[in-house]
Formats: sequence, C-alpha cells, structure tokens
Amino acid sequence: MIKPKIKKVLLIGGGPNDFGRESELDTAMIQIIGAYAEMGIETVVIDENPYSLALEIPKIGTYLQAITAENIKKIIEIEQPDAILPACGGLTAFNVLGELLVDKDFHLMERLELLGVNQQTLELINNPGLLANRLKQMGEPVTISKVANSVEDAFDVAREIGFPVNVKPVSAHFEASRQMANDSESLDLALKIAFRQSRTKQVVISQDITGLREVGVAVLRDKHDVNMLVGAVEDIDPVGIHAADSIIVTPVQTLTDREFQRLRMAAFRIMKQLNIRGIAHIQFALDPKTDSYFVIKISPYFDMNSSLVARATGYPLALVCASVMIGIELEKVKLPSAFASKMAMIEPVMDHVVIRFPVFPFGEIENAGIKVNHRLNTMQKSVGSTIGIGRSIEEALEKAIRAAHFSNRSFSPHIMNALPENDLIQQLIHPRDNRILLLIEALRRGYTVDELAELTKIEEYYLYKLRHIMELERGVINNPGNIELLTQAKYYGLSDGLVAKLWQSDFDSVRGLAKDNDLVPTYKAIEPSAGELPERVSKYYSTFEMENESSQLGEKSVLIIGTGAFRLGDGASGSYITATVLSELKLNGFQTIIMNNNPNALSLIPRLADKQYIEPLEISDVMNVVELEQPALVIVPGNRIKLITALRNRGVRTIVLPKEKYMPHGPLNGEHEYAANYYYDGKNSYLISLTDHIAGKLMMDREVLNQFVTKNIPLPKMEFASPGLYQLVMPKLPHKSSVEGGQLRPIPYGQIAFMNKVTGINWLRIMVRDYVHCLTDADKALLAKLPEITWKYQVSELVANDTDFFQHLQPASDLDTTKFEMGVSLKILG
Amino acid sequence: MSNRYLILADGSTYEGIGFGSEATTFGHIVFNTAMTGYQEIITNQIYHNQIIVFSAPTIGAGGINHDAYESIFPTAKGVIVRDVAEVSTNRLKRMNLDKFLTRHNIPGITGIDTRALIRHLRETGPQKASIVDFPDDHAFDQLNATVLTTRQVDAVATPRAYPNPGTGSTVVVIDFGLKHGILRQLSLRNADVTVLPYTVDTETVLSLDPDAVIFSTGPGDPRDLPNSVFELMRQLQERVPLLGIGLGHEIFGLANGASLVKLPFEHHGTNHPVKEVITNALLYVPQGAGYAVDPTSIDHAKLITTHIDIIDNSVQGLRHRDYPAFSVAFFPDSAPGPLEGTTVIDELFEMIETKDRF
Repeated sequence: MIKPKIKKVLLIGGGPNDFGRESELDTAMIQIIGAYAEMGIETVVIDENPYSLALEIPKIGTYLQAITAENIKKIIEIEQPDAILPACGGLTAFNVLGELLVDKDFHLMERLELLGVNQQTLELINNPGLLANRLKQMGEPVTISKVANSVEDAFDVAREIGFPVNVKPVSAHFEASRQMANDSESLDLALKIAFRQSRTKQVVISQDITGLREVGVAVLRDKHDVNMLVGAVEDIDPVGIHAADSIIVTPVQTLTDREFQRLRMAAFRIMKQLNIRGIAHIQFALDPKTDSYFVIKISPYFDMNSSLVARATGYPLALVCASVMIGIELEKVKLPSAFASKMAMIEPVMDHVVIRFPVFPFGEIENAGIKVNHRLNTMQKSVGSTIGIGRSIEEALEKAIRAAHFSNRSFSPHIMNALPENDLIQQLIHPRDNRILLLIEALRRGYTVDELAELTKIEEYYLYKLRHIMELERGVINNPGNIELLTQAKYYGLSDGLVAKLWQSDFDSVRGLAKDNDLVPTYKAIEPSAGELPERVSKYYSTFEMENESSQLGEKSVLIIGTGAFRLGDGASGSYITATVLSELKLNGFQTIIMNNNPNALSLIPRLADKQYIEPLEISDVMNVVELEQPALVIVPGNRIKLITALRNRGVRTIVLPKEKYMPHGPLNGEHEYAANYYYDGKNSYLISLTDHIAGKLMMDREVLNQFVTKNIPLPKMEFASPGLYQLVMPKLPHKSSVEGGQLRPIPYGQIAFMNKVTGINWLRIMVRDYVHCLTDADKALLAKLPEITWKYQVSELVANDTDFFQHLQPASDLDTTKFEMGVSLKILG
Repeated sequence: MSNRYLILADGSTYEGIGFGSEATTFGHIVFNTAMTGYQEIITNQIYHNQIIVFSAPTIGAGGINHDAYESIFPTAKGVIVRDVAEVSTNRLKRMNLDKFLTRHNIPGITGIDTRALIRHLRETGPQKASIVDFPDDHAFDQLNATVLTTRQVDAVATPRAYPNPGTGSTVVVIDFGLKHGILRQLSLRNADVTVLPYTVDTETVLSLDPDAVIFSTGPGDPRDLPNSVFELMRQLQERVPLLGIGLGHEIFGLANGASLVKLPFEHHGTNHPVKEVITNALLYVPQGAGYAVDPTSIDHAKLITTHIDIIDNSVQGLRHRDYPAFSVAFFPDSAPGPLEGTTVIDELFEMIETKDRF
C-alpha cells in the first residue's frame, strides 16, 4: 500500500563512525530534514552515534538507539511513518532493512513506502553476487565472480577463475572491502576475514582487475527517468588501492570525451534498470588499452564520493535528493532563494580542480610504539581526508597535501633523500602512504615518466604534473629570495611554509616578501555553473590570479577554524564540535565564517555558516582570510598552539576552544579511570557529571554523581585561561576531601558530545554563549542549581565500536580505543 | 614561451603565456563550459573566426586523438585556458595540443584568469577580441579596425561533393561546415552518405535518390547565406525526410517563416537541460549557438516547437506539421557531450523506415 501523500518520514542514520564512514551521512541527513521541514513533512531519526547533529535538531522525532531491525520495528509501530529513507544510513541501513523485509510477520512494504530504492534493488545491493548476475543480464560488464558458501567452495572458485582473485563478504555488517589474494595462503587469510564479516556466511570470489583506472560517477535520477550527472571523479591510483586511500581528482582529466560519455550512459542505464530514485555513486574500472570497462560498485546512498562531488561543485545535492526521493520531478524541485532558479537541473560544471587526499593513522600509532603495515591495498587504511581546491592540478594537490599535514614536516622534500635505491623501487611497485613524495624523489633521481607509469600504473599526465612540482621545488631551492620563482611557486600552490622550509627561512619573512610584491591570494567562488550564471555564492577557495570575488562579510563576523581531516581518536567529534559552535553563534545573531577542508565535515553543510572557505589551515592560509575578512573574533581549536600565538601576536581577538594537543590515553585493561567534568566560566567551576572509564567503555550515572556531590568535595582550582569544559581525571573516586593524583585537562571533544546528549543540556552552546557574552537568565539559573537538575538519561555508556583494526592496519598489538578511537556508539541503560 | 595578451574590443586586457601558434589573430570571443572534449570543440567549424575560452581549468591531458576530429583543418582563431597540458598520452603519443595548434596556425594563451574573463563576458556580452604580443594602442586600433567576414560558411564548407559509402539508407548531407560527429553517427547506422556543397540545387540532390537529407551545422548567421539555401530547404522538405542541425535548424526555421533573435547570452556547453516537449523528458546535450528561433515568430500552422532549453527558454527544436521534416539547435551527434541527444538521429532513421506513409 502506497499512501497518496507522504507526511512523515523515518530516516535511518549511519551508526558509529568507522573506516569509510565519517560525517557524510549525518551531513546529508541534516539537510534532508531541513528540506522536509520546509515542505511540512515530519521527520523521525534513529541513530546511536553520539556525534550525530541530526539527533539534536529540535521539533523532530529522535530515537537515540542502536540501528537494529527490532528497534526500527518498534519505532514504526509508535510513529507510523508513511515512508522510510535509508540513503542517509549507508550500507548499515540497507542491511537492517534487508532483515526487516524478510520478517514475514511485519509486512514492512505494506506499512510504508521505501524511498530511494525498491525492495528488489535493496536486496541486490545487499548481495554482491546477485547484483553481479543482474548486471550481467543487463549487458553491463562485470568481473567474473561466484558466491562461495565454504572455504572449500571458495578455493574451487578461485582455481576456476585463476589467481589473483578478490574476496568480498556477502551482506557485510559494515562497508567491507575487497581483499586481493595472490595464492592459496593469502586466500586462506582473506576468507577468514570475509566469512567473519558476512551475515549470511557467504563470500564472493571474483576476477582481479588490479592496475586498471578507477572512475566514479555520482548520478541523480527522478521518478520520470530524468537522469543527471552530478559529478565524476578519477583516482590517480589504479584499482588495487582502496578508493578511500586513493588520491582522487575531479573533474576527470585523462579520459577522452568518448570514454567519459560511455560511462555516463552506463550509469544512467544502471539507474533505470535498478529503478533508483535519488542519488547513486557508481564506480567503474576502465581499461584504456582494450577500450573496455567493468562496473565495480553501486552505492544508491550518500557516501564520501557523493559528498566530495557536492562540496566540489557547490551543487545542493542533498536538498535536491530530498525532493526527488519523495517523488518530486527534478524539474519541479524548489531550492532556497540563495540558489539560482533552476539550479537543480543544471549538470554541474567546474572551473576549478578538486583533489581529495587521504590521511593515514600510521604516524600516530607508531608514536605510541606500535608497528603497523604501511602498504596500501584493497583494504582501507586511511581514517580521514582533505580536499585541496585550485585552478591547476599542481595547486589543488599542493593544497590538499598541506591540508592533510598542516605541519608540512612529513612532506618535506628532503625526507626521501636517504632512501636506498632498492627500497625506492620496491615501494614504487608496492605503494605506501608516502607515494607522492616517493614519486617526486624518483623523478628527482632521474626516473622517466614512462618508467614510473609502467611501474605504478599511474597515468602519465599526473606524473608530468609531479615532475613539474619537482622542478618548481628545485627552482625555489636554488634561488633563495627570488621573486619570480616565488610567484611561480605560489601560482602552483606551494605554501609560504613550504617555501620557507626550502629557503631555510620562516613563513613570516616569506609572507612578508610575497605581500611586498603584491603576491596576495584571490578568492574564487565555488558554484556549479563555472561562471555562466550569476548566483549568490557563499563558498570560496584561494588561488593567485587577477580577480578576487570575496569581500568582507561584515564588521562583526566570527571566523571559526575547523578541525580538518578526521584522525584516529579525533574525527567525528571535532566535526560535531565545530558545527555546534557555528550553529550557536548564528542563533545569537553573529555572521559566521568557517575555514575547513574536510569534505565530509558537518561544518561545511551549506548555509550552516554564512560563508565558507575551503582551504588548508596552515598559519598563512588562516592569516590571508583574517586579513580579508577582518573578523571581530576568531575561534580556534586549542591544539593549534602556533596558530593561536600567531593570531594573538597580530592583535586578533582569539578564543581558544579548549583541546589537548594529543588525544589522551584511555585506561588499561582491568583499570578504572574516573573524571569529574566541570563547566568553568572564568571564575567559578560547576560540576556537571562524573564518568567511570574502563577500556573501551565510558559510563555516566546520575546516581553516582549524587553520591559524589553529597561528599561535598571542594572544587579544583582552575588554572585555565579560557572558560570552558574541563575535567579532573582521577585513578579512583576520592573518599577524602581533597583530590590526590588528579590531573586537570580540557574534556575531550567526544565526551562533550556524550555529556550533551545524556544530560539533555548542550554545554557547548552554553560555553559559546558565555564566550560571546550572551548567557541567558535561564543559563545562569541552570548553573546556579546544577546539582538539582534532572538528566535526560539517568544511566548511559559510550562504547567503542568494534572496529576491525587488525583487518585494516595490522597493528603489532591492540590499539587503545580511547586514544585511537575510530567510532563509538551511545547506549542508554536507564 | 613568452607572455602574450588577449585584448577585448571593450578595452580590457588579459595576460598569460602563449602556446600553439605565435600568430596575431582576431575573432569573436566565446566561452565554452564543457569539461571534456577540447579537441572536438576546437575542431568544430562553428568556431570559425572565434576565440574560444575554456571554463574547464585544464585541457590537453589526452593530447590529440585520431577519433576526436570534428574537422581536419580547424579555423578557430584562438584558445584561452587556465592551464594547458603539453603532453600526449593517447595511443600514438604523437601529437599534443600545443603542436596541433601550431600546425593549424591557431594561437593559444594559458595562465589566464578565465573565470574573471568569463564573468566579464557575461557582463559585457559578445565582442571582438585579439591575441597579441603587446596590448598597446596599436593593437587596440587594429582590433577595432578589423572587420570579420560574414561569409563564414564559404570559408569552411566543402566546395565539392564527396561520398562516405555505406550499405544502408542513402543520406545526403548538405554541408555548411559540418561536424564529423554527424558523419560518425550516420556510419554507425550504416548509411550510404553523400556530402554536397550548400550551393547544390534541388534536382542534383534528388537525383541521388536520398532516403533523407541533413542540413548540417556551420558557423555564423544564416541570414548571410544566399536565398537559394532557403529555397532548397523548402523544396526538399516536401519530398524527403529532412533534419536540420545547428545552422541547419536555423535555416529550417527561416525557410518556414520564423525569424531569429540574437541570444543575450550565448550558451556553449553540454550542461543545460533541454526539454523534449512531447515526452517531458530532459536531455543534456551539446550546444553552441549565438542565435535562436524567435518563439513569437513561429507560424504554428506550419511548425511545432519540439525542444526548449529550460535555462534560457530558447527554442531548441522544431518540426513541420505537414512534412517529415524537423530540426534541432543542439548537436545530436554528441561530439563532445552526453549521448542522449543521439536519439534525434534515430528519429530520422525511423522516419526513413516509415516514409512510405507520408
């Protein structure tokens, strides 16, 4: 039964963060909820991720619950939604709906409408083997593959296809990767992992296509079969390196129009055959030598690729999808007035290059004394990414690298000098996280582009670009203080910091020299028509050209510095914090500007800030924006110590969001660690909550707090300059009236999110109001009677996600899930 | 490579680095927003006497490919881009864009702030421009004194008939500077093609016993063409299935009593949605027209509007009420660009199959 009009939609969230799951799903969900609110459609959300901002949207139905078939059934019973939307929940949502669909007593399809995909397609997406067969029937080329039910079966199939083969689980719990097996030994290992991941205890064995080129397209389709290409991306790395670990370029550079249009039409055919309404990301492997392609993945939901395309083009993808998924034709989609009319229907074109650069956790883990495997393969190892936007490949790449490593130390051109020749060749053939530096070093040592293309399967075009970067660096090194070379360097994206390093100078002098010679950045708009249509734009990136399109937003603007790429221990929580700060400032009437470079960050949701700069966050990059915008206030995360100093030295009013330089360790196995969490307003401290932390789990209980308070412990003396949220960490709860062996520190971002959700009070928003002197009477009253207030949830815990670190990173020993948090879920116990 | 300048008739100057030919040239300036297919665009004869600005930040990565020529001797007057790749990574690795432009005496400038230029053109409209070594008064005087020919079709259309044999239907293409994409589409359908100069008379065309006639794409304003062309159109449309493309579409409109308007903003690119009126379907198609048929001038007793550009509301397709004759302003050969427009060519072949009914 399909109801005539949709009045209420249940949206399934993405669950805890993990490899391949940042904030892109929540980002899409928030926009869709906003779009539906404007159409008068009610929304209900289920998620268990404490960093979900969607769960904090007022006036919608929210269920802070694990994403399971049982919970969704109950919500459907209570809320009686007209439709369910899985596209904001990724593969998890698809899997859970798959379970619900086979529940014969529940009759899901009779109760509500499934948005985005139909039942058959949902089942195909959950089963790669069936999907491959279906694609084959449709005449789309797929790699040869077969489903195996046992290890013996799998070996038979592998022998039939011939090694190397790829292994992938059927109906995986999470976004599972293909694994490559060259021989029976590696197949054995891959099967162990894949069978463990499969809900149905089945795996798909398929033909290996390592070395081909990988191209992804994002396509929109409405119910009348109008298809639109939102964007396409090309991996610099060949198939064989996980797409999330690849360096990705958009717009596509090295495909001919003919090759490109063929993939576009294939994508449209697939959309039609699978009857997808809304967004899908379709990945292809392309073999230019034989002029053929394979379809390698179909994702009819929001993912990091669609997020990248939306950020890169400025196309309001989630807003358009919201309409299209409930059956509104593309032609009738209404957009907020900030967009050019009919913008929804224009296929985005770009006049800039966007490069996404992966961020790996190897350094952090090795600093903790744990060895990890750096070799890149089909298993994702990166934990975050940045984008660089520029007007040439060189510029976009340099900016992306700088954004990923804002202390460019790890990308110094000298770092590779000592690498023995044999290791160099080995690493060229078996790429690692440092491959860009390695390739530049190889070019420096005289390897030709042809040789490197042969060894690495990287398109020659990109190797020519790397050679150009190598030549630029060489020119700069050999000519200290030379303006012409500085001009060249900046035109192609080299930063003040990098030039300073090459000249053994400091960034301030380089910046001064540049300014004295009128080398100042010009900001260009990110909009989907490449200058053809006038549009009110709020997103910018820098380059060094003639025209600057960005002017000062206002006299009293606030600039917020984002947290950049996700890193282990500090990913989605940072995204949550920045977005909340932005939202609160806006509520208090401030004009806001965000600088960030993470394509999946919540802070880059369109219109969350009045203005966005998608830029690296090196000191120079920030200073350039500060000089243009002259913000009344800059808000910086506390771990950016050098930046904070630089801003204050220039007399810029700067507020520091308290944050430690490194993520703290969690307690060891079997040990407890307690923390008293305080709000400090600059004079007084207010005790908010107590946490009991064991390895992998952080608990909060209202009753324990009551007992603690009755002991009448004196509050610690705060030694922090900024008001904010701080915690006193203790090995045990004190029985005496003084705290011994305790340590005061800013509350880690993740725990702030936890505390906000559990207490039902957004402490971060109070902190922001305090910063900008907008504390309300209600806030003051709340602080005054803090011990008496009731919490939203009495007992709850924050549980580390069971991320399979071994599978992804192969660490030599277990990782501390606090310091190296990949994702957490929030469980309400009472 | 040395610094070169693009100067516009309105007095503005853009500095960049020269590539391709070192010639000083004059032409109309036009921008194209397609992100793939630079070779097809540069070799399209609609760009005769035009200086093409690419909004795509980088072009040239694939070099010059044997299967991407829209004409063999391009007659564009310049290529303006932010970043050109001087590599050739196609199968023969023989020719890159730089060498290709040098060979055809077309200058290019790279390193131009093309976004600023396009935004400026959007404000100031179509105009003459020149690629020069020095942007001095002399250069501007030269530019202002330059009168660009209106006999553009003569400069690019074939003066002689030639065949493109096949085993299927017989198709005559009247050449006004045709894109080779049209011939490729006909080859795909095994058509037995004869390309004729536009000065041909009706009897000669009919003596080839065509199953269909195509009036091709071409440069310039069709009102500069001799009356015989419109007469040819009127006589042929009564007798054979007929398709007008680009310039051919404009001729079709004019021959049937409609008039043309100059588009306030020329759209060159592949990303506008074009609505097929009868089905309500949206197509994304390559476009590149300076003129459009004035919708108020259409005699609805004779013509039906079949396609409309959703963005600028321009007429993109017409069909005759009485004859199996139709036309599209866009390029249904899709070279470069999305392939959904090729259904227009299919329609022509459907007409051929059912023509006994007419």
